[in-house]
Amino acid sequence: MAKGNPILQNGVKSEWITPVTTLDNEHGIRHIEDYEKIARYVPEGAPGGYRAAKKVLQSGMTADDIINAVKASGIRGKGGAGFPTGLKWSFVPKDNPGPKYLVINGDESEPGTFKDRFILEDCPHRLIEGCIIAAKAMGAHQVYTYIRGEFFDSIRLLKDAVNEAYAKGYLGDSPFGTDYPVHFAVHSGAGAYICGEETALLSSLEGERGHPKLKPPYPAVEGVFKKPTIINNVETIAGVPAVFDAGPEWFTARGSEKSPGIKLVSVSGCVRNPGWWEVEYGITIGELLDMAGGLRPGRKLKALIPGGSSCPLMKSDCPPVKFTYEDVQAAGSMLGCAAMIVLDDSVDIVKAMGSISHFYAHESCGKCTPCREGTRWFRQIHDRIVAGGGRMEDLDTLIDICDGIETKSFCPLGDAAAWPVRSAVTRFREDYEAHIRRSMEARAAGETAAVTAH
Amino acid sequence: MTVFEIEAAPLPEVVTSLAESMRRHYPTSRALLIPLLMECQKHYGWISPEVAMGVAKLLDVPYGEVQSCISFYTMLHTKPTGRYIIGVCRTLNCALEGALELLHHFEHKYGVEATEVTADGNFMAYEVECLCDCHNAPSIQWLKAGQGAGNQTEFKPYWVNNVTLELFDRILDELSGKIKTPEGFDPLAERLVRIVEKENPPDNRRWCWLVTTNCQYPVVVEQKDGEFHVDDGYGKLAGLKERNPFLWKEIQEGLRK
Repeated sequence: MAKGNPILQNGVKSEWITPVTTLDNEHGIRHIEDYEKIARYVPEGAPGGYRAAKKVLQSGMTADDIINAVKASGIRGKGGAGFPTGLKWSFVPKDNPGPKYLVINGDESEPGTFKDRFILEDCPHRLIEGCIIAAKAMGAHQVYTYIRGEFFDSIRLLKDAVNEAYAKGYLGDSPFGTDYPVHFAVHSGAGAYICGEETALLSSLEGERGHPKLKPPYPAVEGVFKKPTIINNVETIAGVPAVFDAGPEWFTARGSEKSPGIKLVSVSGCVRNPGWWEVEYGITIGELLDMAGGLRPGRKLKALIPGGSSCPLMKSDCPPVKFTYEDVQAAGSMLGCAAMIVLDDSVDIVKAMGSISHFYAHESCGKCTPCREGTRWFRQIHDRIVAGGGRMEDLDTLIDICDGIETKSFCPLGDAAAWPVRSAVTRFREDYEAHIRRSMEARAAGETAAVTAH
Repeated sequence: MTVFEIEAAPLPEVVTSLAESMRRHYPTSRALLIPLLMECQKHYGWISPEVAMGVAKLLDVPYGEVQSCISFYTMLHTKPTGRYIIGVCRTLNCALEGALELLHHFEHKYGVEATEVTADGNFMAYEVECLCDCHNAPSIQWLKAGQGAGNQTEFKPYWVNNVTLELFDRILDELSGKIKTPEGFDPLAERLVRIVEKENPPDNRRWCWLVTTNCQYPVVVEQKDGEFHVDDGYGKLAGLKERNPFLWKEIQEGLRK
């Protein structure tokens, strides 16, 4: 188990009693026993429960103070790209007279991830509290939280929590009695993976088809409604109050230098007990596998996708790799949103990639040609190979299509579709070849049989 | 040349009140388009041209733009969808756990293809992409469509996760009345899928995973007064006997075995 891992601190009961643990009940983001009830969420004088937001707003901290504290904590965006959060906030032009907006990306839809829903449903107040602080830091008075349409319960529970926060005076025209208004709207999507891409999310928020927009101008300068906008992931913002509750050192004391702090990791696929855990960066992939109960009996690791289906596949030698942005990248993949998908030796890699290709072909928004056409070719070629019509030259064609999409599509969805395919074809080429060889032999045998029958 | 006029349908109160409560947060009315279309979808089960026109008029957005959005988003339907919309996740994790077999079974059982409504008007099943419940694969989002004004039933979303082919088939039969169910039983409410005993438990108590159609609970089992009490450490199963007596009974029977 990882160093300083809370699972051990909390004893054996916690180790097994729940797939979610928290590093620190005082400052961690889990307050499950209190959810849906703000009165219980904020016990008098207890930490958590809007203490940080109150401190930030009432103590007269300037925007720069807040941004510097977040920078010092080293928090990085948890949605996939891992961009430093404090730095992102500092990009908002300070002298811009018009309104600015904070947008929370709750469009969780990367295959393999299931962490934001837990925050939205089990500790929505942590998110609201983080939003108040972030809004103050960037000079916004309006927060929009965009949640994917499928999460009916998340939307309902977050709306309830927002109403409670308004009733308590934590949101509204004068939160905590200060003169810094913060308003909060919960916005429902309607089913589109592309809306997790930040500019597509803004299009959807404006009531358009979820098509990405050209950058620059970057959203920090010209975002939703053509005003400066910061877009952050739910988990990123839910972690912000802890910076002011526990101090930036609490984060930098954990994880690695480039990946400080903690992360919610989703583990799914061929493991015994799939679930999500809150861990320090720097835990190894093997330890995460152990947390999920290990592989099923008699099975061996075949491949592992560390950060959601967009990330390149890793081979079975990955368990010693440390779970940090830099280590996973050095090992030839990406940490992404830390959605680990485990594939054991019962899984046919070609079929698995076929499934992933279907996903991207369905979710490509169709705005730009390389992605729209390329993702469909990925799907068709994989479908054909799986159906027994594979040809050896398909492998070169797949790589060729990857070349045609990567860096040439309008938004990162194209890259996200190509990376797993490229890694699968290069790292698991023998699987593809064996699959194709089998079907070529079957076809040849079929032809012979047909000839002799006549 | 004939010009087709589409008459705007009067929008239900849930939609207009949502518009009213949201409007103050946004500088444009068009921004409300997607949430309002979702609310219409929930209320009617689909979005007819007349309803789309109603939304277009309410928000002062061109009708063509409204239809353009409806055609973009997976959850907005332009044809009637039946009493239940069954969105079967087909992405990697769910595909590994047999999601496609569920869909094939459905198509075979009712002689329809995905996105078609069954002859009895009950179900419309279709493939959806990742529902982000990958640890409970295969995952299905099963929506009880509201039926709009008049024939009013309330919209209700359900998760039917970790589902087996047998259970999936049973739920379909229970909902369509082929299998009689006891009074007050909701076939889509959380129900037990399986119980897995923990190997090498950390102490001498009984530990197991309760896998239900919502999620997986790791629990400690204790026997008191002839009843099994389960505790997941977070109280999520507290009061289960009163809250969901059917699930409670299933757990009792499952643990007795």
